[in-house]
Amino acid sequence: MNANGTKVRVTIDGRTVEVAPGTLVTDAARAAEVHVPIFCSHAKLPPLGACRICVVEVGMPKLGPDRKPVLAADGAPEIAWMPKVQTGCTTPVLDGMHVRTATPVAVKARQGVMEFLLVNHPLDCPVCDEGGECQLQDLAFAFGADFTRMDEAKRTFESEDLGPVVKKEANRCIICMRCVRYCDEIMGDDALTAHQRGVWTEISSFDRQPLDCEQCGNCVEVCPVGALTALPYRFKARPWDLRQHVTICPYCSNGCSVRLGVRGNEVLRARGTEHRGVNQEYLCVRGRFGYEFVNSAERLTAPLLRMGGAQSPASFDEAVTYAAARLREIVAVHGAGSVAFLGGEKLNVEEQYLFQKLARAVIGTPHVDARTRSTARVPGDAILRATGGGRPAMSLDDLVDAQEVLVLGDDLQGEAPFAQAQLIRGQHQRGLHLTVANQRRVKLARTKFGGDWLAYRPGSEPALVAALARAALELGDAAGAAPAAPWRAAIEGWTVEKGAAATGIPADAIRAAAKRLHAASRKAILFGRAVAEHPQAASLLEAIEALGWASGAITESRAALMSFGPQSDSQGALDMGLTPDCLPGYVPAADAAARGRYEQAWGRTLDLGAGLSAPEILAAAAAGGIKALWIVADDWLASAPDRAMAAKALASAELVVVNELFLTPTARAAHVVFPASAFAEKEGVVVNCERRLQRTVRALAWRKGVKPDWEILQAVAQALGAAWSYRGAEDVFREIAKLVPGYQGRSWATLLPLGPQWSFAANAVLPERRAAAAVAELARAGEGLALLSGATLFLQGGLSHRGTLLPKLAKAPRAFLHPAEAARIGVGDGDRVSLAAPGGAIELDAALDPSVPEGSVFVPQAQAGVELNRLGAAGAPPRVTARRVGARETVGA
Amino acid sequence: MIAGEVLEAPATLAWSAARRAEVDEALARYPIRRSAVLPVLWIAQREWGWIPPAALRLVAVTLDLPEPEVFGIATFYTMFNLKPVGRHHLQVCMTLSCSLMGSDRLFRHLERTLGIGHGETTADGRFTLRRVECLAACGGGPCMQVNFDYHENLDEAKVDALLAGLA
Repeated sequence: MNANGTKVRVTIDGRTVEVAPGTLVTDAARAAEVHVPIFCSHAKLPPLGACRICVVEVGMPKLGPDRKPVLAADGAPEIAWMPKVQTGCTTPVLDGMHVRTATPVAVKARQGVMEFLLVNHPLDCPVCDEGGECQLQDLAFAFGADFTRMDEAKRTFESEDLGPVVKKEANRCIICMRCVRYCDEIMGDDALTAHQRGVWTEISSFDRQPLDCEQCGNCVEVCPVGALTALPYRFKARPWDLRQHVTICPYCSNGCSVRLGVRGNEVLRARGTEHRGVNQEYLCVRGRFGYEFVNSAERLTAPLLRMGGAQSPASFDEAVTYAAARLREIVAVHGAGSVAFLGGEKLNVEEQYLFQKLARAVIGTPHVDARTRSTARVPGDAILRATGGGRPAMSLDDLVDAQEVLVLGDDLQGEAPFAQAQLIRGQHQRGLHLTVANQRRVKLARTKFGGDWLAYRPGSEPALVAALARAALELGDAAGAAPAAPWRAAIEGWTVEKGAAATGIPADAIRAAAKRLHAASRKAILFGRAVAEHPQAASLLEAIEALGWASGAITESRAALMSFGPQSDSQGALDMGLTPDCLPGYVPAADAAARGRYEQAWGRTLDLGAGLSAPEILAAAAAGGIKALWIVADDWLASAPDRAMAAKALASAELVVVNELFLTPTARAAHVVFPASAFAEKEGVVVNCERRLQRTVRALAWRKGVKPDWEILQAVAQALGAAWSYRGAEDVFREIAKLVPGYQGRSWATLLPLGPQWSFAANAVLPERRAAAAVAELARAGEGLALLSGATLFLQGGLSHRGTLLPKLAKAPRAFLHPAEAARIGVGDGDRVSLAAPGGAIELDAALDPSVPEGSVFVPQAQAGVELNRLGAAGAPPRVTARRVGARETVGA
Repeated sequence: MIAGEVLEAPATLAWSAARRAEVDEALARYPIRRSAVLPVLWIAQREWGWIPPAALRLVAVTLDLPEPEVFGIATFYTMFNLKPVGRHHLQVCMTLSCSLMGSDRLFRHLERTLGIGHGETTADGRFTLRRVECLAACGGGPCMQVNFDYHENLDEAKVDALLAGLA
């Protein structure tokens, strides 16, 4: 029995299952493998009971006068059935409950519901995109009658385009409210609503305007019928003509599972995956509509070689031979230390492992760094330490149940859209409280989410974190917060008041935020590029670790911090040692004993000296110290902090090798360009922000002339004399699983569909902690405006530009100014402005946006045409002078 | 002609001081702002005669509600005019008692007399004609509500006399 609330027994169509108390009948039926149809019910939304299709008969054991079950002649308890059918999706199970789904009463009731749902449905399946995967179609087939008693005219609505991604055919709608509720409770957009009432109820937007929302298309995904369909996929294919492959989205670090629909060798759509992946049905606009680059006709299809002047197509063998020969010459003349390896955050871990192995074991250079955007040297294990040093990590699902979440510095809408959706869902459904530390009033900081917004001065993240950590320490000893703890060094000399003065946030607000975090038993601290690419990232990350310990987010047994890297496999790049000071698995490169495992496995000494980090490689290459650069999956001219310096480095290097999908400006500057496979064309393992290992699958046949990066790297290694003989990425993974701490004992076979989150055994060897400097205070004011930047929703990285839809949604690149600031400097909405720094200037159209604080200008990252790194080193924090250089361009003039 | 063409919908609207005071009074009546949405929509309709999209936006901002939600609420209730109406809003009850007493005939007579159909407005902006559900005046059917006034036990002659008296 259910005395202590553990499990309850429920019998459904004669099958008895034990489920948690409070489980809904429909979910218990799924556990009992009994099919109960649903339309309106959704796992992420509270029960509603709008559509009534899940009606079942429900009964409880009949009790006698002695309050004991009355037994029938066969000894089984007699069941008192409720006189009317009940909706299974709103009825929680009780211990001893019986459910019947297939009795004449239940079936007749369901047929009645079906008949009503079809009263006004147009039955236009042959011209409906949902046809073939439509729940209404399936259930009409299963339960519906083969004739209609309705001879009245059906009510009809006009079809509507709700913006560029959603097509609405209201005639097909069954008013299940899934789209409206999903948009409200999970996306936090409230873009859809029910208009009118009764039979004229229709789902639409405000005044039938294009949807003002994230354009995620999740309303299309959750629509159980063809009322909402995706415009980009409209009339492109029939679901039974598509091969469907579930792989991992190539955009952000959330690692959502994405179901690619492929016909021929072309990706025609991307959808969520019901009941699979970290995200299940959820996808953001990039995940759902950003697949176009895979099919692009601009993809590179043959290696390019520059011998003397222009680049010309070459065979793969020629390119490999040339690259190997030039590398050998440069190493012979200038030494292995004149070669540097950059990029690789978009590769899968097998390729990342080979990339650094090629650098360290074959070439013998220590200069490896994937973090090309960094503005300062950051230890390779800094993010790992800040997120708890490899202690068991939190999951994206834990976010929904958290009581208090601190989002530090980043706009999750662009940085980690699924994490943002989890937070909104937690806020809406489970009382999660948000503390959003951001210079701008980003989406999560809006009043509708009921959180607290800490608007700090540009660049003062370290002061804020130090003050929060100090305030948390004032609240008493959190577990592990020993006075001698090494992380205390980072916040040495800071007080709450000093932090308040530096950030411009009242000390009371800092103390209150620290108190909320400290008091919550389920909490999380989230951060991303605003931290990792901060000029003081190294000490800032240590301060975050201090905040983690002081607030109890890090304990001896687990850690509740999550870092969102800039790319889909940024975590893998760190794990695989694409940093100058860490070998794979965070084995310190300078520690002779620790690195022995790799020396033995790779058959050479790894006493390579101190490696340069990405910004140091940039400076060394521009100064002529680095002679050869190998850049993978990274448009360095766009990602390097100083574009002019990167251009100089590329021009002066004797050899530049680039693995790319497209002829990017960086690839154009290369001597050898290897065309590389896109995410949908190769297999491998990627690691998301939860440190979860997930295998990607190959959805497309390999393109002619294009190879996966591991094959390119292996071919060059072999040409350089290395005895590499991997037959596939899985072979590489076997080597990783043998050697790399945290990954040991893993197998590809266990990484589908959802792999585990890796964590270190308690005795992991992290490098000796360097004596960290306390975070320093940045210069506060200066000339001009503070330059704010950050991720945006519609574009990320170089790939999102290659389609048509995402750039259209992102509109033209713009500089966002507070209306008051714009008025002060004499700039109107749409005017052309120049942003100038000592290193250079860029021109953009201005847009007025009150979410940007006065005294600053916000320019989104990753937009084609916005090359912030043309400003050069714009200072820390960066400042620019804004000036109006032209009027708004009038259309048609 | 359709009613939507009678008036240009303004791009933005603001409360007059008097209306703002009424809005504040309505807000003070409820513990949460959202609850005041119907009274505030009424205030908007009194101010502008109908509720253009800009007024819906204004209500949404005033109550800190999503715009689509306010739109959904306003469309749910038929007594909110989301299109401009004439000076005299003729609302003919079509529900059972009135129907038995000849409201269909009466409505057809109005259509012929005014040259407009359900939901339409005369070109001079004088009349808007609409079928409505029960006006709760079943003892006096057929009945018609003109703006806020009830007219009961109607027939064609009484309607003609009534229309003649409305400027």
